[in-house]
Amino acid sequence: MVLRRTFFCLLMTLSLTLLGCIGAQQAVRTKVQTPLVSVFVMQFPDRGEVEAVPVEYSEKIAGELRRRNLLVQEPPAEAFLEAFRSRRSIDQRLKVIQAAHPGLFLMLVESEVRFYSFLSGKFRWNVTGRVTFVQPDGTSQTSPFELAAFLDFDHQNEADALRYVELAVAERIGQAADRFLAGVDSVEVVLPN
Amino acid sequence: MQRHPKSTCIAMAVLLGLSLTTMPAQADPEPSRFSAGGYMRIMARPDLQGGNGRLGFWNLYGRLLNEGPYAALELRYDLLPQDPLANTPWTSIHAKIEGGSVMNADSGMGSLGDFRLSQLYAQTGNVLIEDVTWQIGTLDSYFGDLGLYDFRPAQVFNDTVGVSGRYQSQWVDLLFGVGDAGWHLKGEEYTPVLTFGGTAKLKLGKVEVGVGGQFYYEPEVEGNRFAPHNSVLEDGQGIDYEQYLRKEITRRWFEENPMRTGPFTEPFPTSATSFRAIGYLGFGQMGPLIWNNLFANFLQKHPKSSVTETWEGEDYVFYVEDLTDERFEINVGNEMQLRLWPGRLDLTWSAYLGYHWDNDNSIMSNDENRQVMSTVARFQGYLTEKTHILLESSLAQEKSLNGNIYRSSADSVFQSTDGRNDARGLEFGDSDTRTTFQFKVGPVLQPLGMGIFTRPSFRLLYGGQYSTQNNAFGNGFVESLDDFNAFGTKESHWHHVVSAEVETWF
Repeated sequence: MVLRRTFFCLLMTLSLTLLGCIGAQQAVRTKVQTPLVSVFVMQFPDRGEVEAVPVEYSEKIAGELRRRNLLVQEPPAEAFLEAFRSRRSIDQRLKVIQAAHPGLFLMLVESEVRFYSFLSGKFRWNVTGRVTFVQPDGTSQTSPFELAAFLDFDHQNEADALRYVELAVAERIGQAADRFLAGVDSVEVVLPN
Repeated sequence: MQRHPKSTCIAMAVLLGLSLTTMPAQADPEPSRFSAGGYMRIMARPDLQGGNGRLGFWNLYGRLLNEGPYAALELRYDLLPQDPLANTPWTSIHAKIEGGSVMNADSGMGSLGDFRLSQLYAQTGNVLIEDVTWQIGTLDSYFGDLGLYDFRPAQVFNDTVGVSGRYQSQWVDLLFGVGDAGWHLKGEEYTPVLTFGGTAKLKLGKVEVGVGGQFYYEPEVEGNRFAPHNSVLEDGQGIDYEQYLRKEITRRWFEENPMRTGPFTEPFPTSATSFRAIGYLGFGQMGPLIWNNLFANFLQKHPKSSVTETWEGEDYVFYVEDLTDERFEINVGNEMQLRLWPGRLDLTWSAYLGYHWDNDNSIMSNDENRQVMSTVARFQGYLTEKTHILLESSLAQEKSLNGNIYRSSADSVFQSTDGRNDARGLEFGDSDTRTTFQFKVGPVLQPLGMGIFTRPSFRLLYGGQYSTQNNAFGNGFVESLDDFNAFGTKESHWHHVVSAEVETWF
């Protein structure tokens, strides 16, 4: 019995030690804070509407970009939703944003949400999307992402699916931002050690 | 984050500038038509007490630490993808492969024989009727599940292959299906079991109400030995129920008729029916209550076909439709998710009640005559966004309606109801009740963040169980009281396991 108690104590100590080793990840940062005009939209495979994403979703992504010294400026999504309904390609949509914000760093995050199936007790949704970063000179970089959301209840919808994956999407967009910033000449960046 | 204040100016600039800006052309590749999702759990649970690595016998005490490894893979192929800009027909094909064995993690050693193609169906939409999805193949459908138990009381068509139509709108969700449950219910002794049913759900935002049901009909087919029949003795009497339970029909008859040989009953064809009714009430988004699901079912199990007894090298088949057609169950389960301290502490609390009875059987204790009740609560505290502490506890009671069925001590085989010996065994052990208490605690890592059901979940758990039953876990002990039992018997009501495990949907 004493041996068993000692074993459990050691196990708990080890697990707490491991928890303490979890540190923050490093990221590419701009030397000076750089504004980034950001547009977030949500679309669907079965209907044409384009909608705004949940505030928490865009906030989570903005937080990840703040770690890179990027200041996310989010114009009202309503200004773009109707135009994006008929414009489905990245080219067409970037033209719309660039027309309103010429000469700035831009980011377009397009998220598409689709119900997949009932899967082992959960409602599985597919969240696919792409993030496009644009330099002031028009050079762009697009990175796709694909994740699955597992919701507990039938009444939950596309916005709930985005909330489920917001942390993972933010991290992927952060990684895409790292790749983008590392190749930018117009601002000075600091690479992680 | 800064919100841009001049939205009107932006909108005008958007419209004016559309034709002035040029960008390098980019390709927009078509999304993949194939996608895959799945589920897996695997664990290392060396059991130093002689058990098989599971804390207790089954999920009534909460699925955590009571389940073994499992994997599921669901494949989807969009034969004709949906078009977001036009309401045109679409078609997709789905297949699900699942099973509970993994190399080095259980006795099956990952054998593919432990896996099955559990679902295969095609769906098509916007054909004939707009907003209706047609499905052909397997039809499994449910209102939701009790996540802490992995139970689905409000489920229909999990045994059916057929065709269904589902209409979904903002307010209602209607499903109607028809098919055959014969393969699921009868296996190798297949005869068609026609079934039809459906569900209806009203969605009112913070409240949802659903009802549904399924009816089974197995027709009379003269000459088909797998179709439902009843065996009748030469004197016109049916089979004695106690002899059927004891598997002594043949022995007793030949003891009374020692000069006779060969079959002594005649099968009379009949039809068989059964049913399942389900209900659902959901509500939530009120204060700390995220959502509450209440599920219920009332069902009559489908009658069995036949049993076979062997006497002096000869097989005798007896048809038992009328001996197994009054087996009923009522099951009610509730699960609520609560956000007790936002960003710090969540709770999921479940309760389950089952009452199962067989009107034909008033003499033998078994799982078809019992009352089970249980409650499970799981707390998850968030140290950081991805590092959590889990604490779960459960209390359950199972009570036999037909006498003793559990052994509360290693030598209890000598006791029975009222202390009388029952060596011929319609009862077992010395208690009609099993009470079980479990608790589980440990750190959890969740890369996707907070939430009791957010996955993946990497866990390092300790679990403890106290049961009134002796050795209430899968084990390798010898239970015999024989003098030649060299291993002896073991008395143990506490069980402990430590588990390193991961669970995820993907």
